[in-house]
Amino acid sequence: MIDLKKYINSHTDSSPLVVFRVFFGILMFFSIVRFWYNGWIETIYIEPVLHFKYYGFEWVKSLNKWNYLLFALCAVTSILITIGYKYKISIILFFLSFTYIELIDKTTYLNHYYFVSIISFILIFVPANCKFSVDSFRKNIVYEKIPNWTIDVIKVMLFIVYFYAGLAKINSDWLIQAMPLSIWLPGKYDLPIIGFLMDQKWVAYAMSWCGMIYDLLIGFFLFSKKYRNIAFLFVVIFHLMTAVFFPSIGMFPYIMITSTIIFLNKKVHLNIIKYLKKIFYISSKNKILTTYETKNIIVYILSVFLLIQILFPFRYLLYSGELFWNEEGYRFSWRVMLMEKAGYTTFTVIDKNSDKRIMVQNDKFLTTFQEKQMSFQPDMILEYAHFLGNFYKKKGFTNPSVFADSYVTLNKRISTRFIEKDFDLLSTKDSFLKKKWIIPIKDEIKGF
Amino acid sequence: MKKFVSIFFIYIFLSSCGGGGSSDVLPPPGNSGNTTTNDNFDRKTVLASTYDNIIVPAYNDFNNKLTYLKSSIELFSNNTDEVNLNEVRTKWRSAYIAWQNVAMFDIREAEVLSFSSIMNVYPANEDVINANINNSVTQLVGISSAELGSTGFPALGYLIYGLGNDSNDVISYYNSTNPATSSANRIGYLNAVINQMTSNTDLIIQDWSNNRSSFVNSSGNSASSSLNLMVNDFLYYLEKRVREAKTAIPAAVRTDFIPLPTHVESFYKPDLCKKLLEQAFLSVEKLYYGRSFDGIELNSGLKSYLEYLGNNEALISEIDTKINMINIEISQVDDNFITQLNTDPSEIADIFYKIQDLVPLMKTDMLSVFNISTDYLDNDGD
Repeated sequence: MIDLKKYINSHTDSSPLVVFRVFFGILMFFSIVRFWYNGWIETIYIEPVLHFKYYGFEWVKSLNKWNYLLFALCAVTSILITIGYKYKISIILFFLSFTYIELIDKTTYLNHYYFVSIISFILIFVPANCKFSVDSFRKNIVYEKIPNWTIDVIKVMLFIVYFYAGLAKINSDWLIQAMPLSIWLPGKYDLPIIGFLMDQKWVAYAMSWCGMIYDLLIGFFLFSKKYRNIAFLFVVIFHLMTAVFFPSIGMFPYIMITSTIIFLNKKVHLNIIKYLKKIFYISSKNKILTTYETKNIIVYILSVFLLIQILFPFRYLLYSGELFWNEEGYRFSWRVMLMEKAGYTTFTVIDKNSDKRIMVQNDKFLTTFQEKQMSFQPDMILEYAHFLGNFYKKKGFTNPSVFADSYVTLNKRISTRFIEKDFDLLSTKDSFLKKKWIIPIKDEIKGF
Repeated sequence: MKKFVSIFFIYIFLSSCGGGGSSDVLPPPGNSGNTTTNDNFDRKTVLASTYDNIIVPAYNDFNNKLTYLKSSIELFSNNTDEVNLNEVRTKWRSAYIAWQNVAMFDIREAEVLSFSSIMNVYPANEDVINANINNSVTQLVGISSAELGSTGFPALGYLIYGLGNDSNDVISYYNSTNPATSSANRIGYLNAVINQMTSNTDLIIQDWSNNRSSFVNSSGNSASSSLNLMVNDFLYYLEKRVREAKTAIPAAVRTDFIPLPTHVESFYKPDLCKKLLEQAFLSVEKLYYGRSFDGIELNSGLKSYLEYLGNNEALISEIDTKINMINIEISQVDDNFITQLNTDPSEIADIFYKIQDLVPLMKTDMLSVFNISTDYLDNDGD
């Protein structure tokens, strides 16, 4: 093994981490503002009658009107992170408030929100305010050099995201059927100039294969000294293309582009800092220049964290059955834009003690967005069933049972029944055990 | 290399500015389906054909019938006798049937004006209608949630059938001088209702005739493009206005199966119910299959889009089967839904179940294949 001790105590210029912090903070600020501006705080976190909970986080509740305070906290701390003022407190508060927001409702799960939580967690443990920050200005100390691992930990995390996204694309639907791109691309017929290509099947194949190869290899090229600049250009092109093709993807491309800057040479970062200093009229006064020393305990913490990140996406292997269909272990594994799945799920509540029954109209309880997401995700179907059971118990159904009439389509397979129609969903609770009440898909998808 | 990069960035900029709205390239004329050179052609064909062959003729027909209804009401207002009442009833029936052809297009101006809520919320809210009459309401502008059911066809139904057991009773209500103002008030309200219906229809027809090109050219794939609005509305109509309102609610399918005859569409003239349901479902078929208003097969509807996108034979075939089954069920019920509900409500429930079989194919499979976009939140795909 390479000399681990030597590596942990080796140092490098601190600029890449500092630039990363600045861009991360600014992008987070824009993300929050955009979310606010679109009225989504209202529609996603305040209007709904119920929220779907993450396992173990049922105690995380919407704060209703006070959600705005939560978002304000998130926005303010993101600015503080950008300028590097009271960095440690700010990043911790940012991490807590952002993650809390995400935990309120499973409906909104997005891989890039998960990514933000992870990065902000990592940022707690690294000295990102060591330079070019209000903190260093006030303390009059600038850390010109920081341990390599403080920057590498972020690079490794980015590598994991790309690489796993690539692994996820190694499956027969993606590569052999060119699914779901052959459904999504024709929808982009209105793009200027290349719109007419979008219906062509060969284009869907080309983009599927290129996407897979890109994701798998880009991390390696970014690490290599010789190719990293070209690789970065590819990163920019790739993410801008996804922004054009899939405008619904939101901030994800921009977050990934600015995050990937960390791979570039120190000269780039020094120039960025120089440039920012110039346009914001920041001048450097005389400071003490020094080197930040490693704290071993942090190294241990982050190593364990990275190990978890490496293993966690593979938990789906513990479950039999088709991952895309049952979704046991689907989230938190960098499966981004990987399938076209939609469902139609309605519920009947029957009182076992009387002949009371009701065929539920979902729009009485769920927003359109929630209904859409619930309809094909078994854990949400189960949770909603329990909600209905409790609701109707209060309406006089003394011994309710809940049945789902559910049809799901996956990557253009014609919709088939998803949940056993005679299975009382109230007879089971959500757990990490296999959900035997999902009707298995009558097809096979090979690969990861 | 540098040139490529700069061209690329200019392209990205242009594409983002487009916002997925309208496309400026007009398609060459030709047959639909098999061209692969300029694909805007097929989406616009669906929109253009829907506009030219369904929306415009349906609205013209509806407008004519509504105008006749209004004239008949005017005649009746001047002379409340049995002959004139019967004319009003005949014209009401014909306009109500014609309404079923335009009800689905609850987009653009119709949505702005809450047209559906004005024209056809049932059961009629007799309390509000009576209160309006007592308050000598002569003009109706807009509609609030408290007023739902006091306007449009259901209100007219009440006013021309519901006021008495037979036409003599109805006429004597209009002629009654007890209290003195009631006759004038009733006539006044009758006119208020029809005037609201005609003035709103005028506005909508105006909007449609002035905006053909913006409607047809908005063939892009954004939440606000014509195609998206129309498909989403089509589904909403099928689920809420046809399935729920016409079958599920009267047959109490969602609750205890104890029928609610008060909730059928044409409560005051229940032998019209089946015809209204038939006409409504016919308009659903027209949009899906791309049939003209007169029923000519043009194959320029949603089905043609499915065919165009390819590899949808199984779905298309399933949809055909389900539509057939719905039509078979509808044909088996009595014209009079109240009678049907009293003798065998399960026949109406069966219509519900057959529509239920169709909905997932359209709402899930078809929407999935069309890749219609929505704008509730960001989505990195599942």
